[in-house]
Amino acid sequence: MAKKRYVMLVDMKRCVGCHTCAIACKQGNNLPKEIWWNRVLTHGGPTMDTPHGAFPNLELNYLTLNCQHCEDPACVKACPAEATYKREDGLVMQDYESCLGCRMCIMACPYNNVRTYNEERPEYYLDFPVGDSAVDEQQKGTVSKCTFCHSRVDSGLLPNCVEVCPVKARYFGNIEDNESEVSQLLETREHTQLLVDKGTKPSVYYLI
Amino acid sequence: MKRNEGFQEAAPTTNGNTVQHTDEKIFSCMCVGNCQSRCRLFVHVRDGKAVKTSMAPFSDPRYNRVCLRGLSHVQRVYDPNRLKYPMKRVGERGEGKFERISWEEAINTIVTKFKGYQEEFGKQSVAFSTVSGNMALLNGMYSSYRLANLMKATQTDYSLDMADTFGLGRVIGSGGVFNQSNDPADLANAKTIIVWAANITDSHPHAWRSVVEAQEAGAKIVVIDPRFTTAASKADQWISIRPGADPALAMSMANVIISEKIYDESYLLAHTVAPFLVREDTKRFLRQSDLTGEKPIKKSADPYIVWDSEAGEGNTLDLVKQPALEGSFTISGFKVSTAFSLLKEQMSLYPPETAAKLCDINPQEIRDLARLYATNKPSSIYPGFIQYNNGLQTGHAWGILASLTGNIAKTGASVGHCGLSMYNLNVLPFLFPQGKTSPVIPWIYLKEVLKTGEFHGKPHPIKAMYFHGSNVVCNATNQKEIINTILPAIDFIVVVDMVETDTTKYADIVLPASHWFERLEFVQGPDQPYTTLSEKALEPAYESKSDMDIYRLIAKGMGLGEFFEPTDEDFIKMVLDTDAARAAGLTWERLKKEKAIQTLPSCWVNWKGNKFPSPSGRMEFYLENPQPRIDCGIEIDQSREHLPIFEPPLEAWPDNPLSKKYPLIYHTVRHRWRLHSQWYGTPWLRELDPEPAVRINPQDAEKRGIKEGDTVEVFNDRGHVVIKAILNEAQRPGIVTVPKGWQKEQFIAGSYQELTNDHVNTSDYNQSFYDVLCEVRKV
Amino acid sequence: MLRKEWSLIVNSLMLQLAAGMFTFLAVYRLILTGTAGSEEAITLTAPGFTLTGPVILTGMIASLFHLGSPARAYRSVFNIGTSWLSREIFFTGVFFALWLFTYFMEMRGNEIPFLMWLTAVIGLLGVLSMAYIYYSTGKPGWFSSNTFTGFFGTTLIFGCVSSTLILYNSSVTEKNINTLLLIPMLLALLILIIRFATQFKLFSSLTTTSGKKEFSIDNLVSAPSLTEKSAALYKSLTVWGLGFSTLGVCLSLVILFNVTTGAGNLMLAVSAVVVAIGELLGRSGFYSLGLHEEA
Ligand SMILES: Nc1nc2c(c(=O)[nH]1)N[C@H]1C(S)=C(S)[C@@H](COP(=O)(O)OP(=O)(O)OC[C@H]3O[C@@H](n4cnc5c(=O)[nH]c(N)nc54)[C@H](O)[C@@H]3O)O[C@H]1N2
Ligand SMILES: Nc1nc2c(c(=O)[nH]1)N[C@H]1C(S)=C(S)[C@@H](COP(=O)(O)OP(=O)(O)OC[C@H]3O[C@@H](n4cnc5c(=O)[nH]c(N)nc54)[C@H](O)[C@@H]3O)O[C@H]1N2
Ligand code: SF4
Ligand code: SF4
Ligand code: SF4
Ligand code: SF4
Ligand code: SF4
Ligand SMILES: [Mo]
Repeated sequence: MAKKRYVMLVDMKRCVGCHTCAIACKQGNNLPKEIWWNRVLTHGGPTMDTPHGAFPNLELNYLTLNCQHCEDPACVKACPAEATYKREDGLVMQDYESCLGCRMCIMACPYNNVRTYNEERPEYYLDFPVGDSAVDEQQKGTVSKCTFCHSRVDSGLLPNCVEVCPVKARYFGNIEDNESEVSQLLETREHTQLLVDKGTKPSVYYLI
Repeated sequence: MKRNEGFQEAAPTTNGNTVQHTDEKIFSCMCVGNCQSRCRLFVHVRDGKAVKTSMAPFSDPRYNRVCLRGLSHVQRVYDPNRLKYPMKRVGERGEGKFERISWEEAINTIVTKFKGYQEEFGKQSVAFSTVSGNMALLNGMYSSYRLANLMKATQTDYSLDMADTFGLGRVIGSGGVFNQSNDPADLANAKTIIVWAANITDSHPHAWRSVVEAQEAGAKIVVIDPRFTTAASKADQWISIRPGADPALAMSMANVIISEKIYDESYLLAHTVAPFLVREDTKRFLRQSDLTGEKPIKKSADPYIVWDSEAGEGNTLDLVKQPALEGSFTISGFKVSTAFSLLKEQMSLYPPETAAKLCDINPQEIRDLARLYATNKPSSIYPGFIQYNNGLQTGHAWGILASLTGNIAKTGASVGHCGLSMYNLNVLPFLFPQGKTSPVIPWIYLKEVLKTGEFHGKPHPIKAMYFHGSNVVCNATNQKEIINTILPAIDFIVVVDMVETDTTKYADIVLPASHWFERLEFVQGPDQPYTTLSEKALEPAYESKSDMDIYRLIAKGMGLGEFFEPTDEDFIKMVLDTDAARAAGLTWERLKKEKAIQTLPSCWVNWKGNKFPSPSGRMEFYLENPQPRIDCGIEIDQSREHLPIFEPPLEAWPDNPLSKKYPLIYHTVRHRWRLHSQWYGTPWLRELDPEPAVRINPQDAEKRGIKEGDTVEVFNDRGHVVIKAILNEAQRPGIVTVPKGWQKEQFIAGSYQELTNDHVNTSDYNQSFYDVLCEVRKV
Repeated sequence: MLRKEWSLIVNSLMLQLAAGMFTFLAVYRLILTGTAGSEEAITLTAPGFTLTGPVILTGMIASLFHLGSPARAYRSVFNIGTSWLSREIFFTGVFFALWLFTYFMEMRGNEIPFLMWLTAVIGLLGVLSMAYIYYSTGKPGWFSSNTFTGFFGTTLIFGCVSSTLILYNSSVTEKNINTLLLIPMLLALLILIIRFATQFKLFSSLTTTSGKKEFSIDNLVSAPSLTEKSAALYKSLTVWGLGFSTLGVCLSLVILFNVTTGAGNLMLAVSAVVVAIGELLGRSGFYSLGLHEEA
């Protein structure tokens, strides 16, 4: 079988910070209260939607941040329990059943807040699970993070956050396939990755 | 190259979503709030509960879209604030004390009251009032038309979004309806796009996608907005205009286009009233009957006279090959000038230097913008809704710009708002089974009618009001006046809503409406080319009922039951019964099977062939007989409306002496976290946007000793709101902005809507939501 | 504020106490065997050897309280290949097992010096792994040689103070052992002085969030840097901690120099407590570096 490595692309030129991807993730993965696997950061002033600079010389961008599914994941290295591990196709998985809740992964990950620890029993607004039914139930005393919607991907569906973007700023696909859209875009568009110097080799690329 | 190749963009059929377990049912529904998008959603149901909404596909994937609100519906269906059963008021109005009653008691009370008032005070004494909570056919804003007209009851007009819309609509001839522009998807074909007064990335993100596509293909994007919006941050150019100065900017652009002769002369001659001759005495167009003295059988059969330069005489339009664009002439003793000459003269009042002062920008910006719009074609103006008392002029001036350049009715060239719906349907028998019998009073004029007890000079008592799909206490101007003057004048108030709102608190009877997914519904357009069926995915929660079922009960009590015997399905079949629908392949059978049928071409172009619905069939940038939007029996000063004249905003203008006391302009814009007041209590959205806050420029904040996160009071003579402050450089100094739609109890004190102005503009009868001054102080 | 971190503080201090104490006593045993004969050496050092096991165990049990799912603690050694936590737990486990083995062997009168040295080395490797856990996070304050000097400094000071306490005033033949104990105690003071110096170097290079961050994507997405609050807490706890430890060590030195009466034991115990408080404060300071926003 041909080699596969999944990557996600986010077009920062297009992204308008609408948070649709964040909500799609929240709903699709039945995330507990206050947990967001995909957050939309304002690259500007200190609060959401505020620009950088002084009127009228201003700058405003948005950056969505989820687990970068690193090729060389610091979290996997640090995890003592193999509860977080990398799949053949590059997805960095999180197994609630094996997780000790030691938070080594959180300490090791260079990216802010892409992993969250369920210190207490996860709380929800409704008394029944929402979202995709294949989603694992989160547990007290374990860590959770973006899974690249692995069960959707495995059945040929796009990750929730990619499917919904109103301005089509998100892409997902196999970087090993030169013909794939993600490969083509990386070929033609200027892009960057986050904190390259940390050596984690992220699988999320930002088109700039 | 296909997008995200190898993956399905959305589940292909209603049951093809393979991640889902087999016990999950998927229904095709529509999101029908007034964001103008009408996205198609899949509603995923497990064990009778909605567990997910997802983006559902259209046959043309360009229309596949959804937003954060559409993906939060699960929390609206099970909203903690949902109304569960009919209730009657037991405390004072506004106190929020209610008692559960049965549907029977509720309907009996309503019917007895309505009958009693209609017998004693006349049919008009019951009024139906709606705004935009639901825009679908059966249960939406048009849903009460049938019952109201059968009852000959009063209806209120919503009095909003109708300043620029009507201003431009008078030029096009479409009047006070929203259908003006091409399909927003067609923006992708433009070379120049002016996003004018629109917070587009929040209010119409799907239209923004097309703007970005155009930009990526090389188009120039200009954003005209006092604030540094997200769109401004992405645009090629941002013009931070002084609030309310837009008519001056637009007219100055026209000035440049005319003086630099970069207009499209042949377009002006062929498709606008430019060559028509305006009589100096009557200000009307010179017609054949003026010359012959014979009254025509029909006004439309009375040809316009134009000037034949070659022959040196006036003649009927059809006979003149090359009519004069400019000039003043005397024909059979009538002194006339071409409409273009009058326009030129009027626009000469607004050279860039003059307008730039009004707009507080650089004159060169105006020249550049005018040249870009006129020469880098096709150009489109993508407008927001102008919320000032002079918005009518802005819309009129946009009509002039399109007329001068021919940037209308072409691929990539468009102006105005989008709202193409009911284009091949037979809606009249559904809406008005016995004709239009209801008097229509603009909401903004209602106070006057209640005060004088008269409309059109005749007694017009109103004793009962029935609100549905409207949260008027939260969303209409001058909240305190509504609470203290308007509502107390009404003896009996019924409010139908899905959730508790600012308005339900003032009801005598509250009725619980079912959620959009809990009923069958029919939707067409208005900014996508599909006709759709929205399935009933869920049973109505608690004791809620669909609006239509509520009308059925009331109608029966009112003795009008026979008109409501048709089922929802029958009503849909009724409106589908047209040749045009059949020709478009739109039948009940197909709709039932496919749920969404494309009934317009993708990227449709409006007014194809330059056929405009105006009396002349042309772009009437000169209005020979301007009329108010709604006839309330009040004359307007026509001399100020043939062509636009810059009138400053009513309140929000530096010359206004009131600005000494209230130096800040008060804006209440839309944010993505709500659709007006809807989704106000949706927990996921409240996690992201937990509380209302006023955005203020750090300079303005510093002057008032306000720091980030301080609690402040925003106030004027009409009212106040106490709220958290966020310092934001995106705010043009001198403007504060409070995102709209929060309910009263979500503020520390007051409401954002206490400050707004309920001034009556007797031309457009529109509420000028941003034409407001205020001051801010730390508390 | 450090409520959540107590288990780690206890765990790390206990392991370092055990490793330090064990190693020091091993060295003393070697020296004493030369001067006083092996039997004497064993008797004198035995109480400390016995104590080591329970200390390790206390530390291990404390660490369970740090886990969200302690029932799965057995999984914590599944990734010795790359995880420093796995290694630390592995070494701690082996440390304990070896101690248990040597302990039982000694009970039976079988002293196996090789095993003793192995146990000490494994204990020290446990300390090294633990230091690496923090060092490898790359976090400000942790990603520094101070983590090593700190952890091994504590190990040394604890080892020195605990062994002194155990051996103090025991008359080994005619010579008072206290002179022998003086040298390591002076070493401890030297280590403390070095730690003071390196700490202040680190203090000045700590970057905190309140110092206006440069406008860059890196800063936007990086794990939060230190808050002004935790940095201040770190600094003060560290200084107080080093102060207390120095005080305790100096006190011990004075006692070792001057006091020959029986009161010396009690006074030395007090100074040991002062050192323990110092290290506890210092370690709390160290963990306050990890508090970030969530505190
Ligand atoms: N200050 C300020 N005020 C403004 C504006 C502004 O810019 N600034 N904008 C104005 C504009 S342009 C608009 S369009 C208005 C919108 O004003 P509204 O139309 O009042 O807005 P919504 O809050 O969307 O909807 C009103 C209510 O309809 C209910 N509803 C939804 N669906 C149904 C249904 O199926 N049946 C029934 N019975 N009820 C339903 C909702 O729960 C909600 O409480 O706000 C206006 N108000
Ligand atoms: N998320 C969301 N989307 C919505 C709605 C909603 O409630 N929520 N409501 C829907 C409805 S009913 C409507 S009517 C539309 C409205 O759509 P828009 O008109 O795009 O909405 P507003 O938020 O009023 O944006 C007005 C913009 O005009 C700017 N502005 C203010 N004063 C001036 C001025 O004097 N001149 C210029 N040039 N700009 C000015 C403001 O800064 C703001 O950015 O949105 C629709 N879409
Ligand atoms: S959905 Fe798209 S545009 Fe919206 S925040 Fe996410 S990436 Fe950006
Ligand atoms: S982003 Fe962090 S959590 Fe995700 S794979 Fe990389 S190191 Fe691990
Ligand atoms: S918290 Fe869970 S996933 Fe993270 S390092 Fe510990 S065991 Fe691994
Ligand atoms: S890929 Fe899936 S899990 Fe990851 S952020 Fe997107 S929606 Fe969430
Ligand atoms: S709220 Fe509007 S944009 Fe969002 S999903 Fe519904 S229809 Fe679409
Ligand atoms: Mo509106």
